[in-house]
Amino acid sequence: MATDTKDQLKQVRQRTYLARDFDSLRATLLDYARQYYPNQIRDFSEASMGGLFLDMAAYVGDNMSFYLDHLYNELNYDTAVEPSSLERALVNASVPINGAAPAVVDVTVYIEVPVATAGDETPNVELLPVIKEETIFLSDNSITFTLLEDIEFLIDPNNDGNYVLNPKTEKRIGRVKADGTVATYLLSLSGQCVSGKVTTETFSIGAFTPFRSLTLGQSNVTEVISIFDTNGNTYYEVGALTHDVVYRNVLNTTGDNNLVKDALRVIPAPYRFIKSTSLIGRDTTLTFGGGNADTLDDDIIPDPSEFAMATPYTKTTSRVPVNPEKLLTTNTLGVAAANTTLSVIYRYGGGLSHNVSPNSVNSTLSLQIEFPKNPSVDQSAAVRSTLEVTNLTQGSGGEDALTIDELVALIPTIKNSQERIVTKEDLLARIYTMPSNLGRVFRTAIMPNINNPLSTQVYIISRDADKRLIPSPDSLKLNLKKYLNSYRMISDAIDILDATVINLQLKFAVVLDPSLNRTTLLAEILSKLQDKFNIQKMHINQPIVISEVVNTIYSVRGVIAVDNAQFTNASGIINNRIYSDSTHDIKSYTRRQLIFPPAGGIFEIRYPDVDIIAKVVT
Amino acid sequence: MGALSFKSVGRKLQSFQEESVDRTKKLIPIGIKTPLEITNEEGPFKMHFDLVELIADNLKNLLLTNWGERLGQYDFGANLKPLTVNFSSQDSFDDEALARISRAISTWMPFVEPVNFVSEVDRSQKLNTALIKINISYNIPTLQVTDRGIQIVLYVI
Repeated sequence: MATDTKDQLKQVRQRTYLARDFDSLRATLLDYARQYYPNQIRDFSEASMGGLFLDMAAYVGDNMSFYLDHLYNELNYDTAVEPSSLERALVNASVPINGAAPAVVDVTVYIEVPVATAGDETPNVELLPVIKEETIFLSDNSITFTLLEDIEFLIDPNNDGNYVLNPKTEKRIGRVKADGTVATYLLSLSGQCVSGKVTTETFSIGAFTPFRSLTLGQSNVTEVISIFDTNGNTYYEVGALTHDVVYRNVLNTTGDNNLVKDALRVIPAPYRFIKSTSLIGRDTTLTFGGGNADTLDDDIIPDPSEFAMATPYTKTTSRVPVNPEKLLTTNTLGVAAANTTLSVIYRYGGGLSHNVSPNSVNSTLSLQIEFPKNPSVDQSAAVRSTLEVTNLTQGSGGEDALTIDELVALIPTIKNSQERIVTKEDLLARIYTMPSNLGRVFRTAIMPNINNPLSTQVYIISRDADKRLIPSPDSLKLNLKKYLNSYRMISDAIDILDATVINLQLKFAVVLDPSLNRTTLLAEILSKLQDKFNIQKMHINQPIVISEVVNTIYSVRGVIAVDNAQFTNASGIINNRIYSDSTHDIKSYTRRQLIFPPAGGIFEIRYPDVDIIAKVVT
Repeated sequence: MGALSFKSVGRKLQSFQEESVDRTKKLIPIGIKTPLEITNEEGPFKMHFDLVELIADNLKNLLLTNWGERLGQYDFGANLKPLTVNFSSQDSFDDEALARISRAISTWMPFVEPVNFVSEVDRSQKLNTALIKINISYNIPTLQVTDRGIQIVLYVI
């Protein structure tokens, strides 16, 4: 039987799916009701019940449309706004979420040691101590610094029991007797410290649970120093639970230990964990392996039958199913702790305030000292009582935790880098995400080396506690060198250089509207300029656009004219203010209203309160 | 039998009355009657068939609705309830209520022309401190309807 297509089409109710918001949904519903229910109801005015029902339906549609949009936006890190979505995006892109970074500072320890016999030109070797690592010093602003290495006043260079004074020790004459002979010597030696506190947390672990997670009590954890349990097992931190070995620096005991202090060793890590940090609270969670120690399998080749799922007897079987849960209980992903107590020792805390000024680490909170030659208690106590400490250099590397926006900005570069430094962006991402316990670079720039096509020049700069630029310390550069080495291509070379800091002063004259308050206007102009030259907005090799600066001044309502805006270079010490020693010929580096820094240079208005000078002319 | 002309056929009174009833039944419903009543006659709810009655119903609902009660239309209603919370004197209440009612009608039902406003405070109630009865008379010029009236009751809290 023939069918009338026209009739069939008439039965299909036309719907539109274009409406998204309240107004368009209401209008669409109204059209629909008028078209298909003209004989049931006609009044849809706002005051009527029909209008009320339309409003309710449109409201529900508007809400659903909003949440659909919202959920869709949350899938992309560019448009996501909820912290949990951003955290997921960061984890998926392997962007490490770190807390505040600790500062690194070199401390100098002073001791006064008597001579063995009057007239000796060296102190009594029997009384020389070794200040052990984990000794804790305290700064004037109550920041604790932990010694990372032994400070050895006494060394045994040949491992034969013949101890001598460490040749690196600086020696000065201390007290002198009445007859003019030396009574004591003042000895000093330096060691590296890292800021933050060390704490131990214990966790009672019950029955076996695969992939157990433990959250540490303190936030901003910079390093998990060690984890061990009451059964004597040591747990190692790995990048992923599939990693079954760790690389560790151990003391080099071979003959060349005077040249190479540490040797890299591969250590098996059956008991292992991974560390993750939350985005909001910067709380650290440790996740352990999924294997059960009781079923620790010694077989090199596993027996597949152990993983087969028991099936009831049937006359026909198509295939033998495998129980995937059993695969997870193998030790492939590490062994989980069970029926024990875990002790977790970790370091936490950091931030810009940890970049202490010189001579501010002056007291000892917890002294770990050893006298290898075992002098008498009185003698050792006498030397111990003379111990003093200070830091001759500024602490550096301490930085506040990266903000959510800063972390999200790293996603595209880290996503592309795939844990190898191939492009310039890879290198940038690696430098900025170096583990915070190794120090933090504030700005970096990458330039090709004109003398070596396989080499890349990396310019870096750090900040002090006052957020002013300082050259990155050598220890930070050494750490950066080791860190980058594990990611670089074998044929690539990277030169790490200090960025040149060019300090500027800005002078200008303005004509202001005489009807307005001159002081208020000037304060507003200076505030806008200080914001423009905020060091957070400056980058290495970034030029200054003079017309932009002038526009900033003009943007203040009441400024009639700007005259003679000039930048000058400030260097050395001016009125007790310390500037960078680098000089820069502003005039010759200015082209078409752009002031360029030297290659690998960064501009800084170091003291914005005094380095921006405005003059009002009439 | 001779031929009969159809011209002489009339209608019986009964059939005329039945047809009239049918015609009433076939009237098209205009809007939903409030308060809602479930029925199986002309749809799920009882409906208005008379436009003037419907407008009276809508006007009452408009005057009894307060801001924020209507989904999607925050400022729908005369918003009289807040006046009952801060009720101090009838004069001040009348001034403000008059303005609010006038504004609501001109915004949401501009085809209604309010004419008179009379309010009466009844303090004899025991459960509440007072009742305010508002009588409003209005015209609907487009329908040539004049001097219609409605009463709304507000409870002073």
